[in-house]
Amino acid sequence: MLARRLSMGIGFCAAAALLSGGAWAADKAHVHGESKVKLAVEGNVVEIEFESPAHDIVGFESMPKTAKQRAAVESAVAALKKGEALFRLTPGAGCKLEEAEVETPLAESGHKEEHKHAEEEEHSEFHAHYHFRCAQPGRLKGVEVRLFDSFRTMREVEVSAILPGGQRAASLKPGANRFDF
Amino acid sequence: MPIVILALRSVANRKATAGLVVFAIGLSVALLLGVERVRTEARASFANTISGTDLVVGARSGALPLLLYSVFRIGNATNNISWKSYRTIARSPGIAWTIPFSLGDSHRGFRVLGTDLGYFEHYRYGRRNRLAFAAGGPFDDVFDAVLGAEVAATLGYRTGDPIVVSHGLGAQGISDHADKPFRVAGILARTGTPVDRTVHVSLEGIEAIHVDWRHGAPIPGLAVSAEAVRGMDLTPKTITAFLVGLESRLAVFGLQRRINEYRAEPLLAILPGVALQELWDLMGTAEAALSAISVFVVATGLLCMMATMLAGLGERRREMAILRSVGARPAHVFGLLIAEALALTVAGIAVGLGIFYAALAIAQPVVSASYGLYLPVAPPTSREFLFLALVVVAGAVSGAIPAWRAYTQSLADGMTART
Repeated sequence: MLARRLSMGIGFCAAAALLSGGAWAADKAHVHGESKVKLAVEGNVVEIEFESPAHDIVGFESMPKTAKQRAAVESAVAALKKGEALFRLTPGAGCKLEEAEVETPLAESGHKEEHKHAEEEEHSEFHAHYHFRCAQPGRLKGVEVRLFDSFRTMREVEVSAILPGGQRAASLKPGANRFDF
Repeated sequence: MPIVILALRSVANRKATAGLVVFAIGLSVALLLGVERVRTEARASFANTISGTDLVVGARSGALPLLLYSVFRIGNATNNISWKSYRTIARSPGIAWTIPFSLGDSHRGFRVLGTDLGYFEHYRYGRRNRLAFAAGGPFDDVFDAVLGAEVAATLGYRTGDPIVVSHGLGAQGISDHADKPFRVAGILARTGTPVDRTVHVSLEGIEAIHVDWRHGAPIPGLAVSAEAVRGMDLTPKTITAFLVGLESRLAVFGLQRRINEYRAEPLLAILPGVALQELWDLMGTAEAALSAISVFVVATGLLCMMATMLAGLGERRREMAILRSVGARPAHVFGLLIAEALALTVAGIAVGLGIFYAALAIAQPVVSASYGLYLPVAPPTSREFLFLALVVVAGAVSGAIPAWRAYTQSLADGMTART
């Protein structure tokens, strides 16, 4: 039994040592099908940042060329501005969206010339930032992420959260889109 | 109740086989409990190691390697980061505190961590517990050291003792900084985290022992004495990593992004809690495999009991016939065998608990010293009790098959056994 327990200990350590060799997931990685939500709660304020490859939002990443593509970008920006519909915080907490910003190089049609660099043509992203203020922050229990309903090509949303109780992470999918605090 | 007594007496007549069955079940139960205990305690000890730290910053590699080498002292850094970058970030607005880490040296197998006094003030573990001193206090000289509880206990150090730091992580004696010994200024109270297995010195101390070294060896002809080194500028040029605490949680993601896009040097800032989650996701598979194996071992133990009981039925026809002749009905025979299975399982669990706690008591100091994993000799948790209850149910169920066999057999045989 002692030997077994020791070998288990060694197993754990070996697993940990193996882990230190892998996982080259840099933050700047651009993975189609994977969007990121960063959420922080402090006092009565909830801040949410959203990053997504343009491919998952509009289905293309180059500057829009046709009227149809331009319309797609416009409607995506409009949909992303509706933060309360995309991120449903616990209804009892009385959270109101105070600010929403959406940025994407695809929408900056006026600066087309500046965006002709090859790397920006290859991979474009959507960034959104939301600022909520809650009347009853004590009742905040979680958030339902409804991005999947608005953006059909989105498969996975990686959530990292900084909550009063500590840091947490979760991976949400269309069938499991709730993140409990 | 009389059936249970009968069952126990009957089992007592077959001590040898019954004893082996009980021992087999005992071993399997001990394995089940052991896997469960190591699994939950390993998780708890990882989760308890760091709390209240918003970001861990190091050279750009991966979130997990950075977390493991900086906080858990597992593995090594691929690169250091410059002191200049550290100071620039530490001075930016919104930062409440930073703790610099400089790793790479060791003392008799324990890692040496160069840090500053902020470590004793801001480092938190478990439920935001501060580090406490069991003896002495923080370092206030270049050559002062503060020992973790395990280091002091294993090597038998007291405050005031001299210690010699070795270069790198090799064995003592190969490349020692013997010319500049440290003095034990304080010993920390036990935390159950890697802090216990760490020798803490000041960043200036780390710099001081390396002033006359280059490329991992002393520079020939250049020996700077411990006294002379005090007069030198001991500001480090590089550190391994640093921890950051912010004034507002809302600022964490913004600072993380700024650090990750830092131009002067490739840096990586990670959220320790999120990186730990990544670790759980990876460990989850291994844990599930271990748990599955232990469940199968318990199933094997119970199958072994079932096989022994089935095999014994033929020999026990006479016993059944006698019972029938004194008025036992087939249902009683059925109950008798179920009671026997239950008795064997419960005895097996008792033996298993004995083996488990004996192994725990023996392994605890070894595991704690070698892996920094503290396994408490505590009563079974509610989850472990649930497992044991499930084993009892499984034991009764596996007794049902031989019981059914005995039931039909005694119906057929009646009061006369023909064998």
